[in-house]
Amino acid sequence: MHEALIISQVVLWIVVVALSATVLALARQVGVLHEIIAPMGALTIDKGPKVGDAAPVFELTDLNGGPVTLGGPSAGGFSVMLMFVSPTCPVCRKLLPIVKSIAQSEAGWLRVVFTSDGEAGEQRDFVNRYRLHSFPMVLSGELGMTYRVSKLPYAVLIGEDGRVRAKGLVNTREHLESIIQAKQMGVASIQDYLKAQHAPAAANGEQGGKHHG
Amino acid sequence: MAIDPQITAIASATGAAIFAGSAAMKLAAPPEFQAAVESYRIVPASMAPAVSWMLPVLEIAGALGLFVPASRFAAAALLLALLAIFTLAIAINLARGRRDLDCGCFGAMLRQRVSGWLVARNAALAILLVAALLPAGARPLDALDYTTIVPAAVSLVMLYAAANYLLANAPASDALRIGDA
Repeated sequence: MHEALIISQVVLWIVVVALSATVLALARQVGVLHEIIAPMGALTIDKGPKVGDAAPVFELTDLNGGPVTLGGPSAGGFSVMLMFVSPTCPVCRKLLPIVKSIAQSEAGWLRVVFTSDGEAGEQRDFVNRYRLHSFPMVLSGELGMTYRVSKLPYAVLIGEDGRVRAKGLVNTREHLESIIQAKQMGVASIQDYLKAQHAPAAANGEQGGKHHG
Repeated sequence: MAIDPQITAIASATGAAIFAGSAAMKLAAPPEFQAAVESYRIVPASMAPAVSWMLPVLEIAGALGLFVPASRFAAAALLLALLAIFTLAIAINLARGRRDLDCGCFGAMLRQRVSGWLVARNAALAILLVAALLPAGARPLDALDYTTIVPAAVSLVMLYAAANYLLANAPASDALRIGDA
């Protein structure tokens, strides 16, 4: 009897440990699935101006008093990537060098504009600390409200025709690249791209882009 | 009140693993954790670098202390105090209405938005630490005790990790649900 109890104790613990490991793996997989089905960022909330809509026109001034126009057809044929950041957002800091390198490599067609809200002094420190002098930094709470930005860092890509081309929460280089990729392939999101792949008749049009897994 | 030493051993081992693990994740990405400390807006930004080093170091000290019977009480008390500070910081920000704040509990490893669930999770951890804090009975542990202690601690740590993944995933899952409606 005593021996049977010991054996059953051992067997039960093996089962409990295996179950706990299974629950852990399942919970982890839910996160992985979220990353896969939402390549623009797991927390993208589809509010504000839609991809394909004309971006609302804003006439703003940056921290140095220079004029910044957002929305409407661009004079030089440049697209604008609007980066919503904040000095207090940890991921924003990590993303800044990546944004800078993308701004450099895509300089032929893309301009990057940073935007934040809060105190001007705080933002100036932020610009100095992360050497963002070569980019316009716009202080505007209204921009964030218009685009319904609730999570940072958030990117909105406005095409040279003044239409929103892509947008979403950007936590990593991959997220940022998917925004650029979405514009270059002429699709609103990776989800749309996959949908187009399933309906090849409709997708043969302008897609010259390479596969992006 | 003395509790069975088997319970004490399970609580100590689990608590030590949980706090050592979370401290290691915080120390793995110092800039992110420092930014998390700043974003709580509890301590002045100038103190954030010092605080962001001190918290994980204290967590590791507490985790190590749990293993030695002589320092178990002090270590459990230290970890309970830390937990109370973390929970209070979360509660203050929830009261301020800041629900988009990143917890920072695991540095850059896992982003969790602060919520009432984190307060509940910390309450469960507090119960575990109280079990480690109480004086243990004198019964000597034998091999059969260890066939419970080791798998119980391993299971609890895994379940704790699973609960944290679920909390981290919850906003994304909610966003999908809104998208369907």
